[in-house]
Amino acid sequence: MSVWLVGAVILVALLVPLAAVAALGTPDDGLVALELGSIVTVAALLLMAVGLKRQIMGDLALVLAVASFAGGLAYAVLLEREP
Amino acid sequence: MTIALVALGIAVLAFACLGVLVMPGALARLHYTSVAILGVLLVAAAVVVHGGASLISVKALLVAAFMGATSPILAHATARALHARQERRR
Repeated sequence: MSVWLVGAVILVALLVPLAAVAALGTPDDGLVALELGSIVTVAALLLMAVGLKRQIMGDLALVLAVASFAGGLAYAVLLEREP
Repeated sequence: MTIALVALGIAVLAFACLGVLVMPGALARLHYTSVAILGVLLVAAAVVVHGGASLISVKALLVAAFMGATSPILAHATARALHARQERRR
């Protein structure tokens, strides 16, 4: 297993505590955990793209970067407007 | 060089995750999402150093540039929403 894949595995493992914060915490904590989770996933996909020699993973990382920005922004606006 | 960049990037991301876990309150936790962008930049730099002039390097640079540009906007919108909710609770 190359250093790229070992790094990707570590980053995927880091998603578990973030999922726990999102699931067990308040909606505010969930938003922060979601944003950090998407950042960690983007980095993991970049490492997988090199480790597995799959260009498609690089595309996925790029799409996730754009989608997580839009999603995080929408989540923040909806949370702000929540009565 | 590549291994050092990857290790440093993962260490920064792990530090950010630890910060989100242990800090009290969402606003304090939000600081660590900004720190995590440095981890993505380091991982992207490692990909560029390893790949040289290749398609994956271009994608890594695009990801780094986009996340570096949009992260402060998202952090500001999130902090604004969290602050508004805290004020409403009082």
